[in-house]
Amino acid sequence: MKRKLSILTLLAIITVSLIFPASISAATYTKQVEDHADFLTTEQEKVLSDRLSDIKKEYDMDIVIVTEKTLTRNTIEAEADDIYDYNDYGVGSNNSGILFLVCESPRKTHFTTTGNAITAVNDKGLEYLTNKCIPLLKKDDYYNAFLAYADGCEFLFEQYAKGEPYTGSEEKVNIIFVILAIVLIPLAVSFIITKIRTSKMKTAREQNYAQNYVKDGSFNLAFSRDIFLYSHTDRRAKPKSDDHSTTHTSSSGETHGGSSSDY
Amino acid sequence: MNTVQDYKCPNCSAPLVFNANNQKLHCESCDSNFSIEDLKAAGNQQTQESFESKYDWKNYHPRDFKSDGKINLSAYSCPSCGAQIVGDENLGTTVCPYCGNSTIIKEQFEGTLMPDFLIPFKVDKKTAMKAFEKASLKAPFLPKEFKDKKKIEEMSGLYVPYWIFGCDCHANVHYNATKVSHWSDSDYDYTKTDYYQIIRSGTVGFENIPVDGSSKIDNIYTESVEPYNYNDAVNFDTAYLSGYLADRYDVDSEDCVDRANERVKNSTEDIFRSTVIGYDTVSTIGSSVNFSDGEIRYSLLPMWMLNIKYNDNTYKYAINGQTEKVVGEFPVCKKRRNTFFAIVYVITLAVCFLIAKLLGFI
Repeated sequence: MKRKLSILTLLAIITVSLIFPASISAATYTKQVEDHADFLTTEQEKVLSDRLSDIKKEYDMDIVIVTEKTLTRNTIEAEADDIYDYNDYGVGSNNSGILFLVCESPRKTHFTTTGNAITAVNDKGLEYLTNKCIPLLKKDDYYNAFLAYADGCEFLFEQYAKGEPYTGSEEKVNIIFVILAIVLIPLAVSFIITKIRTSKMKTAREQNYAQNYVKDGSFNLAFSRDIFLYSHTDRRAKPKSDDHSTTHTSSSGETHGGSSSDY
Repeated sequence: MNTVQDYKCPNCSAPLVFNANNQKLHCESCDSNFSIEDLKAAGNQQTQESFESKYDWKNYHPRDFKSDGKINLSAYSCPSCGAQIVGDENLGTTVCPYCGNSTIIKEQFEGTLMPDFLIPFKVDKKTAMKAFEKASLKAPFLPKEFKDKKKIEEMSGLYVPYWIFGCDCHANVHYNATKVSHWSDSDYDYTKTDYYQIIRSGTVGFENIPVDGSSKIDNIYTESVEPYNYNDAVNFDTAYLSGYLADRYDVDSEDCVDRANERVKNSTEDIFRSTVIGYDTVSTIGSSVNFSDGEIRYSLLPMWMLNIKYNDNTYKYAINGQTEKVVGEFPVCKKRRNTFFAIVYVITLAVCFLIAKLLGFI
């Protein structure tokens, strides 16, 4: 009988925890930097916290960092979504914001986006953040990885605020422009200017025209006609915008964007 | 018998079909529409000409020179380049103005052709030299030592024989032209190109087009010193030759007409082209330039010939004896040119970096 009771109690606890997953840890997620894995010093935590608060205020988007020693859900995506959904994170009616969850064991990370942040940090934006943060996490440089996350989010939010969500083409333009700036443009300009100056060394040239010898007032345009023949219109499809966001629904029924990585 | 008029598309030559709805001729091949009026106009113009030009110059009848006894002329011949020059018997020059050879041979004067007119020298030797020095200052990559180390081999005042052409042309010129417009909607970028055929015809007259009648002097020199001001032209008189040399033509007028025709045709197309405005691209399909009784005259025009030796190379210059215009090719100091290139490169590089930085690309 006792054994039956203990099984029922366990089932009840599991059921309650599944129905109200946040209730397990609701009290522990209130700040913008929740360092449960103790990756950061108190000083670093404060600096990061101030930085995230400033960004939140500036762009009306929540921005959160959470570290955990282990996972309490099946996937890191579900863990991150539930932490965000059940702990009053988010700004505005659609709870806009982003949360960066880093787990120590297994070494996994997840960015979860909600509300306007799904558009601001689209699939390309998530790739951008991953490329900025994961290399640092691989070196266990958590503080700089989180600073890079803050900088990256600020940049992506700024692009969104301008009405031009990040498409990933920015960096390509930079590379092309830098190559042009460093090699091609100065080379071409120098070549052309030098060529023009060198041409002044030779003043003897054939004269293929006789404009100097037109009799004054002799030009008479007797017939002039411009005949329209036909029109041709080319249509070219615009390159598709690369600001797509992949979404899923969390246990709370909230729509999230996001991506996971190992480090 | 009924005559059936077949119209062909000006673009693709496919047969055109009359469309009763819009009263236009339609090409099913390239989907173009043409009004009958325009096709007739184009057709008439096209058939009236096949873009072949007819240049009809009057034959030039040479007149032998008869000495008026004012000065005694001598003939000078250069064994090096074969130049045959006429000059004052007392000129005392011993250097060929064309090749700089100093073994020029004085011969018995045996006569020459009478020029129709001559433009006398207005620029003396000293002024011509000053004009040359001034022109050399404008040559950007001139070696610094050129001023001191150059050696003037010969500077001669020479009357150069020119054939002078004049004509009143009737021209028909056809052009292809396009107008391009761009617009976009949410999904596509559009580029619309309107194609036109442009027809221009009319008349234009040319006078005093000079073509060098001496094979000894390169045409690029005799053409570059142009233009001459023909208001100063005078009837030929041997007195004007005193102190100067005069070349005798060795390329006759018939051999020079091709060059005159080319310049007339190019300029005519260009003049009519200037009336085709409002298009994004214009290209000449063809032109016909016709004239008859084109006038050819023989003249002597003044030029200073300057041969300069520098670093074992001879540099030739021609100076217009009327306007002081200097033409030729100056030696290039590679070190100065390369230094200039490097400076421009560094400055441009810095500016590019600055712009990239300001724009936030780097």
